[in-house]
Amino acid sequence: MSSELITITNPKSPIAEAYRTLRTNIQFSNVDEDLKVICVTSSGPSEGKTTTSCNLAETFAQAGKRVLLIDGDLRKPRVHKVFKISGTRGLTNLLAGQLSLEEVTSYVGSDLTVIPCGPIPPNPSELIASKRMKELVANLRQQYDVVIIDAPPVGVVTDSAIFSTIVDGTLLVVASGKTEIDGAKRAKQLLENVNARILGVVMTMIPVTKKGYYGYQYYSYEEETQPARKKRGVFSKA
Amino acid sequence: MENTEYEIDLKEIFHMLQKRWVLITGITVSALIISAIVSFFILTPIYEASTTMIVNYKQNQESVMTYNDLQTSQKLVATYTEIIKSERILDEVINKLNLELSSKELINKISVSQVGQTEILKLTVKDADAELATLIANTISKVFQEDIGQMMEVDNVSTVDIAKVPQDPTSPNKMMNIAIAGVLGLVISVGLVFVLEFLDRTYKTPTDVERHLGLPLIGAIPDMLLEQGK
Repeated sequence: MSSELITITNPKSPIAEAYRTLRTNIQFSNVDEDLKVICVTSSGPSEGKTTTSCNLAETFAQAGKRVLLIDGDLRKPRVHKVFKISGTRGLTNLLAGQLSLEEVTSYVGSDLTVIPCGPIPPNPSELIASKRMKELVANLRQQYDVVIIDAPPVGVVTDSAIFSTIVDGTLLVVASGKTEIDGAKRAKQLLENVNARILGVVMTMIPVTKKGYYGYQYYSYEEETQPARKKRGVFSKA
Repeated sequence: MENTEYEIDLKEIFHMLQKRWVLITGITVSALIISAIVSFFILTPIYEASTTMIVNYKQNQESVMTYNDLQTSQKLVATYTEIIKSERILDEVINKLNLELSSKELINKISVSQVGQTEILKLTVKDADAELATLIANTISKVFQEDIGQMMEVDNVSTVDIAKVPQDPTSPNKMMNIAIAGVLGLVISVGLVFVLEFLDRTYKTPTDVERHLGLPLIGAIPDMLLEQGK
């Protein structure tokens, strides 16, 4: 398992706890409507979309849900790398009608089902907007409790905006110290333009100090039983 | 929706400075080092030699000095101050010492002033060469005293202290230079941190998200690399 999968490698860590809090918050935002299919996107690249998707999916799986994680980034797929599985067969094969659902799924983690991207197609946006994609999501909705789609950045390509119209809710990932305020506002606007239901924002890469998050109260019961974290070097970037 | 009001509290400012303390100490320390190098190795040390003269004006040759005489003496000091800086005196000094200087250049090296409200005149000569400064000071004093006798037809200026060869340079004031550089470095680096922070239009804290984006924050994930102590 990749070190990004902290919910598997270290389920008692404060970070895993943070993912469980996210899971709880998502469950609570699902009071009236049926919230099964969730799309994870952000304004730009490398803001923690895939890490969030994978850990969130694993956290749902640990809660005993039937969870499916789909790599919806048909341009720069990364989910298979995180789980260290083969990415040669996946969503694109399924959409092209070449392979069946059983042939493209892998089982990882705590009984988590993963569909990797598959071969990178020349026309990702068209594939996502296809009727077959809608049918696939409708079909998967029947089989799983939670479907999480790791989508490309909404500020860069239109794929996520398309995804957000076929899912029940969209998570917007914002990286601390990385995501520009204007970029995130634009991402929000792009999602609102297609009437996406934005569940909320997940902030990633929050710098931690010994006292906790800066500007954000943060408590952990595990932290006190763990050996003291190595003091950060004076030249490390905060 | 969007809350454009931006509050800066002390904690945020402190955190901001703490976060970039490497930058702050870096700039301050390099300012200190540069000023030390410049002060110790690059700037030529300047020596100061001073001589003092007293103006002793007596109207009549009686031994008692009147208050009037004292006042006149004090006023004469002002006149003499200008006379010392005249080309007539300085050219003669240059000739005597065979200096390779014009009288204008020499004027820049000397300063003449009255000591407080007294009738004492202080002549200071600055030069990179301590002995030359002393020599110039004493020569000016001598030439001036001879000349003034001719000019005023009285001999009423006498030397109090002759200039002695200074042991330590007065300039550059190394400690002062370093201290100024340190303070400047600190001020500039802190200013730079504020500018950088102002230019950095990224989200920093979970509260920023709610403040600027108007969307609920439902997850806050700590930085994994930091958490793992890497």
